[in-house]
Amino acid sequence: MPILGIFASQNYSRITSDYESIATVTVGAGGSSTITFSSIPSTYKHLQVRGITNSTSTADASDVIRLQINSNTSAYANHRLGGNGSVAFAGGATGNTRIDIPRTAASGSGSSSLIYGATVVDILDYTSTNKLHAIRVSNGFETNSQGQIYITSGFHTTDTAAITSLTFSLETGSNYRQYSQFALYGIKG
Amino acid sequence: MAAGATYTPIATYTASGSSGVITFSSISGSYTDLVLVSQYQVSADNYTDVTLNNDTGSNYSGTYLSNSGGSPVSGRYSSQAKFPEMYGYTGANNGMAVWNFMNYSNSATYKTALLREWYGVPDLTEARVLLWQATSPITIITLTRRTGNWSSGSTFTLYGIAAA
Repeated sequence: MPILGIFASQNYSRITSDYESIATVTVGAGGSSTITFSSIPSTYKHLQVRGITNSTSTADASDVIRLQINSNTSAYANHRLGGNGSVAFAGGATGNTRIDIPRTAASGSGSSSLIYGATVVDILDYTSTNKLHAIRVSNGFETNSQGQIYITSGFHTTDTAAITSLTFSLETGSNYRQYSQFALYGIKG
Repeated sequence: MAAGATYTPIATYTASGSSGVITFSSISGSYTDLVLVSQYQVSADNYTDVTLNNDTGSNYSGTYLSNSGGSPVSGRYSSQAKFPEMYGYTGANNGMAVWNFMNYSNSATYKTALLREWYGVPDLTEARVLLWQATSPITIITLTRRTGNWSSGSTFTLYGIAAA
């Protein structure tokens, strides 16, 4: 019997079989400038990408994640709500070469390389071929001396093809540091 | 590509109304992320102090984006002995919180969490990013009402997500 008020992880073996791990990329010691999921199977209804990342950039305590869908290199739009611990703000852009996902942790401004930003990306109905696929992102980083939190949306403004690849890079062109990881999951519908 | 079912319920707690403390302990390290989903009512207006692995050092910090009508605001706290989160209001007000403890089982990085919170009255929505400055895997999560108890029927479910 579980102890009331102190409930240990016990006696739970159920698995929700509609949420499956598809693939994971974990950055090795040499770092990597991109993380790509390609040949994404069309056997799910929705996708979710979950990850932690640190940029090797020393220019600042943070960097911007860039996302390209299906290797498209133009015609993206994105908008965001954000907070930096002092003010809340909103912003966006159209006609970009990527979806900007601000911001993740970097190693500048005295920030520890042990600090990793967190990101969760949701892509609904990704196999549809009759819509522009909107994505939503929750992400941010926190260093104990500063932090930024964002809610972001984005999409490719012309491509209605099913999503088969996702490529994550960084605005500064830096590498993702070792232990950075993106994991791709499929949700059945 | 590998594939495997995941998003596994690890443990669920349903409050009886007689305790202000909930602890998920002996959390398995066999997952990549933890998701803690809660809906709750409380017996006293106050914060919930959330600690990891019983750590009460000044290792907790966070930044938030919040709105309860009017203009959104952002704020932060640093070097705290806990995450002061999940403010609860008495009465019929219901709160919801979804925690994402990202890559909680690794031993190489500090741990970052994303938290979304919603309240009924005052009508409030929040997004938060939280840092625990420790490289230890998370094995214990404790949610303690600063005053009062979790009301009967409040539920807290911890899920594990394993990357392929």
